[in-house]
Amino acid sequence: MTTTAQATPWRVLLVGTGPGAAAGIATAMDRDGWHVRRCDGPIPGPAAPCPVDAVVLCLPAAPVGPPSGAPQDPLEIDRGPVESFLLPALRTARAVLPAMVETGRGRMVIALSTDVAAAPDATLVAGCVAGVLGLAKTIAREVAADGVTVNVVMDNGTPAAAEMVAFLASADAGYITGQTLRPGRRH
Amino acid sequence: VPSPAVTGDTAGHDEVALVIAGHSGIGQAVVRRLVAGGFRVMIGARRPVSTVSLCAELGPAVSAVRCDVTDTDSVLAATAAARQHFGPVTVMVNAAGAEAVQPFLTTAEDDWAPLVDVNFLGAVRCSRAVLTGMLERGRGRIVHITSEAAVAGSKGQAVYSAAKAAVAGYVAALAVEIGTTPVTVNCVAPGPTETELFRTQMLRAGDAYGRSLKRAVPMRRFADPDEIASAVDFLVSDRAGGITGQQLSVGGGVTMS
Repeated sequence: MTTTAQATPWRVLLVGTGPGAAAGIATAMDRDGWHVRRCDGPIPGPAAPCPVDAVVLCLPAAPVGPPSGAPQDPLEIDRGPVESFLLPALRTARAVLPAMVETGRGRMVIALSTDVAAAPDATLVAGCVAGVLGLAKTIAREVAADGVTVNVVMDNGTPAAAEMVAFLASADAGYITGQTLRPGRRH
Repeated sequence: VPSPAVTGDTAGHDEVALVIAGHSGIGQAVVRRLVAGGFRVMIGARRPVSTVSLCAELGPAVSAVRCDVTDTDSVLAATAAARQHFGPVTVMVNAAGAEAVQPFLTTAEDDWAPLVDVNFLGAVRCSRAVLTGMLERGRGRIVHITSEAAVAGSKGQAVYSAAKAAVAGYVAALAVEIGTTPVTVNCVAPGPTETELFRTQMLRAGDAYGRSLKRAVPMRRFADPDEIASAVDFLVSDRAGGITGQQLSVGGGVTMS
């Protein structure tokens, strides 16, 4: 319906770590006239903080690692899922949140595809995704008093999720933190 | 309450919202947001006299009608009044609530029914009153204001918390039932929100209580009513057309689920 008018455009860093994962979200944000800076390469290091109002991290949609069909031994530690899910979330938080805490305002939203939450033959992926949900809440608690919110949206790839991400990244969502939302429409 | 004359001059505004308990607190913040967004708003209030100054302030886009959510006929009449005055209701926001703070073991059975009647059955009656029309017209948004107490529990509010949680369960099931239609139904669960009523309660409870309550909120502050209204505003917007059956917690991190 309405978008709160911003005196200066809302600045967003959109970090996409999977092909196409951020497309719907970028569309929603462009519509609102936000300044969206895309980052599809390596996550910026903590030494190069980005002055943004919000950061959105889109994690890969499809499980990474051994092809399904070849049973994966969860005890044979594969760094792939750690590199694809846990570390991007941690690196993004480290790179962006300190400046937000300093400012006393900021939004971090992590977008995840539901198919990775319990993907068959991808035990480590599922474990790492659960880890992302846990670390998001922990970080949310650590930065809440500084006016910075951290939330997770599942069902990335659906229009509902893209809109939910855009809302949580907006100035309007300043009192919502530590939430994991699953907005995909259920039939 | 004197109703402004109905005129045919509705150009540019085809959206009508019915806001139950829009006279004060969170409901009033919702009314203000919706009016700012171009809605025409009918306020349903138990005592319409409580809306006089708000209606005068906001002008002809707002009117008020008596509505008691414990009375089906009253809810139906309020819906009909909104339709007659402004047009078919496409948005229904139910901010009605009744709470009592009392240790559960000291409550009597007679204390429970009114809390369930207002908080849970009131939400059912409100949805029921507007749903048929919304489904017929293929357009509609329903948002119920629940509470973080429904998720986290709240001392002295066992039955209240249960009744608000029941609304979330009702909404989840209803959303599945009407999931193939364009009508959505969601909840917003506010945490501690600085309404006038809340400030009065805090004054009565004393500074120490207020401080300890604030410490229990990870964001270390209470919500402004408009921060709850902004979530409602999002859920009733066109962009949230795919979002249904949700309970969106707006609680400063009181619950992290």
